[in-house]
Amino acid sequence: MIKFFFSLALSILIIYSPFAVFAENDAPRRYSISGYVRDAATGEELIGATILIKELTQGSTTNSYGFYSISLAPGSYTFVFSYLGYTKQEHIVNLNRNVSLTVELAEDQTQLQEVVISRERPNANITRGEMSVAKLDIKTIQRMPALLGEVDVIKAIQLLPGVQSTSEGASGFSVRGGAMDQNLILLDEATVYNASHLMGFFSVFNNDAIRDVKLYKGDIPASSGGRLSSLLDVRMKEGNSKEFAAVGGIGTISSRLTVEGPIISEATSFLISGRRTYADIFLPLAANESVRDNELFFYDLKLKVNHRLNDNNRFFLSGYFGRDIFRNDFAGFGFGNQTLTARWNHLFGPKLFLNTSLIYTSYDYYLGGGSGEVSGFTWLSDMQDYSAKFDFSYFLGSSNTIRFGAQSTYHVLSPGTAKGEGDESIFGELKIPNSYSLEHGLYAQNEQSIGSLVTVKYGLRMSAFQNIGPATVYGYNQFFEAEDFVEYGDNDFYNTYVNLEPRLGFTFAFNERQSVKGSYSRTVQYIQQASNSAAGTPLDIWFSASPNVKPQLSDQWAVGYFQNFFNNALETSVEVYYKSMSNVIDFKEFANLFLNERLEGELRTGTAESYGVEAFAQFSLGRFNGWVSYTYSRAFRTIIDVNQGNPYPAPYDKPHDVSIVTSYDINEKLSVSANWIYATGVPATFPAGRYEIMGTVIPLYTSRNSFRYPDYHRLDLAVTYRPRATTQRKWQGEWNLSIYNAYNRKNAWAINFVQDRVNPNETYAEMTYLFSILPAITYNFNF
Amino acid sequence: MSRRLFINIRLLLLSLTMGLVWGSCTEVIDIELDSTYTRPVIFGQLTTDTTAHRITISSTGDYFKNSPPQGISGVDVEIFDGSNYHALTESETEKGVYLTQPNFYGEVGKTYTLIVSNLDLLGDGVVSSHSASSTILPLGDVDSIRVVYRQLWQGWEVQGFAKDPAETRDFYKFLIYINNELQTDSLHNYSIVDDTFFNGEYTNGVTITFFSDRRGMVSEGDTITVGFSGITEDYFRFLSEAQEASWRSAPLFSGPPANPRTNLTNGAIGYFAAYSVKRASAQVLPRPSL
Repeated sequence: MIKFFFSLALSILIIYSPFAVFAENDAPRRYSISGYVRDAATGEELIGATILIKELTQGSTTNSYGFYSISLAPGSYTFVFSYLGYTKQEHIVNLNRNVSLTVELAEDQTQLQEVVISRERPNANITRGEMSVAKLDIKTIQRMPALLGEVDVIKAIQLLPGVQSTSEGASGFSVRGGAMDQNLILLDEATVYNASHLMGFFSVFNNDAIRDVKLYKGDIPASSGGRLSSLLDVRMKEGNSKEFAAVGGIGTISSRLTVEGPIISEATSFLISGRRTYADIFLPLAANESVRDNELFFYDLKLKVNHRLNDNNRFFLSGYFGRDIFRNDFAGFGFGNQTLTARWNHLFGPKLFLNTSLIYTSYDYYLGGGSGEVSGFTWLSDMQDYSAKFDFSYFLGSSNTIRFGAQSTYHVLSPGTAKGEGDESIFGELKIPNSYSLEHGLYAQNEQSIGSLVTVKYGLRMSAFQNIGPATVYGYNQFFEAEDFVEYGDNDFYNTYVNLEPRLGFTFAFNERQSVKGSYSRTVQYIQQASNSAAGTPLDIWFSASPNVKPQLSDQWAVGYFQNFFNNALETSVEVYYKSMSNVIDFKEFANLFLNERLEGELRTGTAESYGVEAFAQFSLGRFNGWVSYTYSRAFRTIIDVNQGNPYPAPYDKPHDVSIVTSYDINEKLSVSANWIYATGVPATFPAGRYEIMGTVIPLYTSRNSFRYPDYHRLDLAVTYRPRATTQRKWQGEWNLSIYNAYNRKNAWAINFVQDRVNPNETYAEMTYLFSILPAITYNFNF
Repeated sequence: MSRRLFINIRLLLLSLTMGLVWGSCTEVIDIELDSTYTRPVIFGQLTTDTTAHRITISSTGDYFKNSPPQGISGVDVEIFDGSNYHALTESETEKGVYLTQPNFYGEVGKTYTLIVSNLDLLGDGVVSSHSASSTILPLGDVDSIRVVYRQLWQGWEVQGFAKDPAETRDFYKFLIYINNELQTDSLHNYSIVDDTFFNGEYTNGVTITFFSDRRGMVSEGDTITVGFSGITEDYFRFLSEAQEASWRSAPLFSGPPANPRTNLTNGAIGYFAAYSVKRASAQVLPRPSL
């Protein structure tokens, strides 16, 4: 390992050195302005804030750490700093030397103005050199009606065009026809392997501690890789560096509290955010006796500390610890994620920015039962990632932003150990051997403005994956039966894959209000989930590429047209995409995915393709805000041995998908919001006949996913009341009443074909739906 | 057993989830389904017991046809034991059921082949032939069973004491009798297990089945008999798949529905299995007082 990191560091130095030389030569002719853009109230860095140079109608944005840098010929310029929801600031700077300028923007207090259409808003969506991206404002998410009053980032993402939920109430999502495990979910750069709590009804992201959420549905920057379909980049707040503050809420099923503030001085700040459910308190009221004795809850805890040593050095430490626990007299079950990120931001002068991160992430689950009995057993599964990451941003002139870097991750996967528990247990031990691997990425990307109208982006990522011993690798015959095996010793690098992943894009802005964008990206995925269910469970394990499992590849092409109206108060876009994937993984029928040493024999591979059109209109009309999205999309797979090798609709192929998200402020104290969702029913396999074996009716199937569930639609409503909104008191509270499924639509969660108990000759179709009309009340506060 | 264990855990989680979501409800809905061509369905089990062994022959039908399967008469059915052919005769009372002679029994180590011919599926004079083979595997020593009352679980647990052979992967099916009446007479109450977790061990009282008080099936003084059957891996997979295919599914826990495997040739559905059986019995003792 040490040797490896050494060579990694060396290769970065080699890449970096020509730029350093270049930077020196470049210096006399141009001067740079650089610094951070922050929130005036909390000191939080603002990600993606826009800096416009009025004289040149050119601009730049802050990076993921709130840093910007622009190099220009000497002269006097007007810099306009803006960020959605904040009052913009203009700074006239005479650039006759390198200037450091950190700007603090104040939150816009004029939201309730009657006539706001004339208010200037940034048109970043038109000019930004990226597409297929959705950025969600935390405040918008907070106002949305939510299931059981638990506002949730992932549920909000599912309302965006091109994103489908995997099943009612689930935290899994599918992006542009991809599978659930093809989304890279990062929390402060650490991979979150299971983003769900309570069987998916809630996600691990507690809104109060989150600063920024960005979803890349395609056009994934070269700095990220490892998943085919999307990147969900979630950044936690840094912690208020100006004053002590707290946010919390008391809800129908959980309570949460976030505390943040400076430590000693403004240079250091912290944030602690915790949440725990108390659904188990209500279980004794359940009608079903077997449910009553259960213990069932989850908690999560987020911690963050950051320290500004000086303008050139900053340190961060953030962690997430969450766990779900189910327990009753017979059995126990628990699962959780842990992540830990240590980061160092360093400026090598005004133009070169380096972020170094050391990341640890783990996911594990536990099952146990019957302790002290002959049938007592425990079952453990866990996985860990250890990563090191170096990301450079080099701001070359005002028209080039070069990013390059490297990352490396050491994966340890322990698919499962099951063993007898207690003296009486007759069970022996069954351990599926660990798998060890290294995943590397080396990338460089430039975003280049050509004049004020055209931006091009070109990047290349080189990814590599290495399996490391000890390992036993089986050889499979044409029937997928293990025939022989090869054993590899400790630290034996027995298999390596290398792939080049080009990422290209252009933006052509006709004018301030209209642009056309296009992109192509190749993505490669080396580790994936062994799950053949539609929604996934916490028990699903991850497995890696190997001599038998080729890495999955995806090529995506997309073009989009973007136009804004009414001074950017209405943003619209239409995007068309086509995706072609190879080495896609599915599973054989009745696959055995658990505690199976020969899991690879259960896999079936093939190709997949998806295509679609996404139309999106987001409006911000002062009191009335929201968006409307419509997606037409199709997704198909062709897998050997599945559906007789014929193409079939992918599990998340829902051709029509509509989301309408709105909120209206009646006055300063009262606001209402409503969401309406419509989607074509999911594809399903229904029987074409039946037969009997020993008195039991067995359905006869002919083709995969040739039927559909009934269409899904639902209306959610919420009312927020802020009794003290007009007072200057520190303690601000708000009541939030939400109603899920307001017109009580019975949306099919499962459809089963059932043999009648009384008359065994009779069979019928039975639909299960989860939620009737479901109100919830939450009290939120901050001080 | 890993898969079976997992299925049980899934059911536990499912009940927890459904319990959590108090509002969850079911209702019968109308769905229009496709139909497909008719296929022959053949099922039979041949054991080491001396008895008239049954082979049933019927056909597939539309899913919502809601009538009992029609047995197919007039089919030639034979079993070949490697040296001799044994003809089966159709039952006089049950249409489509074919029986061996009552003194017929299978022998460990022999491979039996079911040969079905002259099968007129649609009654239109077009006939087909099908066959399937199965080998009777040896079975480890069966010592005894014990019936104990479980306070916590509120019911009677039947425990098995037997030796699992170490050198082979073994698969078991249990026949459960209460007072000599077979309880495991339908696919959905078949109990099957593999030796993943106790390969080569003495199964020192492993749970074979459980009778909860609620169902009131067992009372003091009853005789419980367990037939330990050593089945092939393929038959174990068939039973497991067929059971799963007949169960309810849910998006969280279930893979896509599929057709169970078959060992019959020429497009027929079903299974022909041959296996050995060893029995042990025990009395239900008085319930311990608290």
